[in-house]
Amino acid sequence: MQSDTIHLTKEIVTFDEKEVVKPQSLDTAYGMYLEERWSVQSFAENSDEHSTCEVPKYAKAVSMPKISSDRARDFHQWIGRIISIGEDDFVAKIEAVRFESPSQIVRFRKNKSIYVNPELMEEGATFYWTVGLFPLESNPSTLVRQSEIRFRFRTPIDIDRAQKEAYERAQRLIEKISWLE
Amino acid sequence: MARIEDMVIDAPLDKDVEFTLLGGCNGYGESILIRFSTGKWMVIDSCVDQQKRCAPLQYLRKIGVDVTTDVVCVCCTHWHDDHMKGLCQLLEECSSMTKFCMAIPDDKENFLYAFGHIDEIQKDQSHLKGALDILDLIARKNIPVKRIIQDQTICQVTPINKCIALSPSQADLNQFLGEMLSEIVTEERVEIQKKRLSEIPESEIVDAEAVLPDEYIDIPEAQVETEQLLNKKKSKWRLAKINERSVALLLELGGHVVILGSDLEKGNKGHGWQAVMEESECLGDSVAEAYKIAHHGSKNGYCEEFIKKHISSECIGKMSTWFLGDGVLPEDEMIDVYYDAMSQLYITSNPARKRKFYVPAPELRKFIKECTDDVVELSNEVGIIQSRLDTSDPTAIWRTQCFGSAYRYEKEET
Repeated sequence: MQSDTIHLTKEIVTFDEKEVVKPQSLDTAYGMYLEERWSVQSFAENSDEHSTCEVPKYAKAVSMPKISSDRARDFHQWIGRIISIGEDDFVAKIEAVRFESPSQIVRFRKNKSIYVNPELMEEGATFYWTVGLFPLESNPSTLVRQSEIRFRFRTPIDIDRAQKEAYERAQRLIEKISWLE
Repeated sequence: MARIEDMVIDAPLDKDVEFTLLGGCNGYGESILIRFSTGKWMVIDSCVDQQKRCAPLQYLRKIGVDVTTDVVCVCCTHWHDDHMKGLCQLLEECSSMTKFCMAIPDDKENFLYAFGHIDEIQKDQSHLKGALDILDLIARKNIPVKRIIQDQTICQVTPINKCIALSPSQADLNQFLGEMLSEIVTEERVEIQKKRLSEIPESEIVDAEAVLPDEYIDIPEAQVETEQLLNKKKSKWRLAKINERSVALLLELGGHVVILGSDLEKGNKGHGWQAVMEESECLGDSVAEAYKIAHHGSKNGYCEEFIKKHISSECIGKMSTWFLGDGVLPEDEMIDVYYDAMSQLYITSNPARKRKFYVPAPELRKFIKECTDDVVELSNEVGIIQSRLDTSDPTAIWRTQCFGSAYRYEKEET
């Protein structure tokens, strides 16, 4: 079983395998994460029971300090799009949101990340990466320095119907429009 | 009902500069016409009259402007229907136009690709589809396109006759693109990105930690969090923030400053008016003599700090209305706020008329129509607020006139 350490604040949270929580189902795992804002620390290989996506077989749930993401202070933010996903990392193109900066191709080490919903973690997925001081929900006057990657949920679209036409139209416009600098 | 061609509107004097706001028929839509002292015109956004004709085109023809030679620049401040109606007609007619200006991110290809999916992204934003028709027309007619970015001069006729963008910033546009693309990534798109990645040398790929500011390098582990709306209905915030990426403009007309607020809203830090206040370099200490009030006088469009610092208390304020369904802008409360902040306040149509009279039952309207043709709904007219200033006379002041449904607002004394 893979086991990592998370730095949430200045405290270092460690794990004891004896306390490992085993999610009963995919829904449970999601429910834990989404509803309780628990971080799932480690996970195993693909589950046979859920062939459509990677499921954390063994997971250690740790209560995280609840933060108010929307009220981050003194933060830096990038919007990124995943270009490729490797076994231990993923590469993304990121563009600064709140300051002028050229776009960059960046590698994120997977083993330093917490569990990501596999349905969202895919090539082409878009995310916000925010680092900054976040107020604790329980005590807003306390700020914790934190790095957060938040994926956006995409609405499925009818790819076959729209994709090709939109792409060709964009190409045609790019070629035909004269752009003034 | 008076059509623009039936109105009595004089041509401008030779050295006049002009700042005219048109409000579309039925209180929906706006367009701004700018005359530089050289006699050349700039058109910002478009709306239509009751016959669905391009209202700025009708106005220009009415005052004797040769639109095939004298309109040098057309600008679209943002991709909302009430600012785009009739724009295709305008572009078809203004054959001498040297540029079409719009705010799009640096990554034009992805932006256009995203727009191609606009109906897939957000079905309730179907009016955005009109933007593609405009872009198709621009491509077909080979009209040069200039990207608008904050602090960039988008049109300059003489050193004292120019137009500079106050918004949006490049960073804001990038975010806008990201928001759109997040909805429409497809397998084909991924393949394109992967192909591009294969062309990037490994040395150009930096580690995520290297991007972080120094003070954050002691938190190497990223907390990866999923979108909490996973099982909820799609959120609507993305394209609803188009207004925050609107193009606000700073005009210098023969030495007189005019600010056009478009539909810019106050926004959060780094967006909207806040970004203009904090990031725009061209704004400086400019104080406007005339102001096109932002976002139809809505609360969201009001930025007190900006008004106090950059709008003269002697300013001429102009606002267009927004009547759609049960929605009415401006609200009475905000009309009074702007009235108190400026010496003159003009509105393209009377919001009270919409509230009180324009929403009657269809049966009643049908009955009236059957009885007489003499009763007309005045709110159907285009509203025109025209301001001219003779730049050959140093003592001249703005001469403002209203036509159609437009009127000067006066607060009722209680």
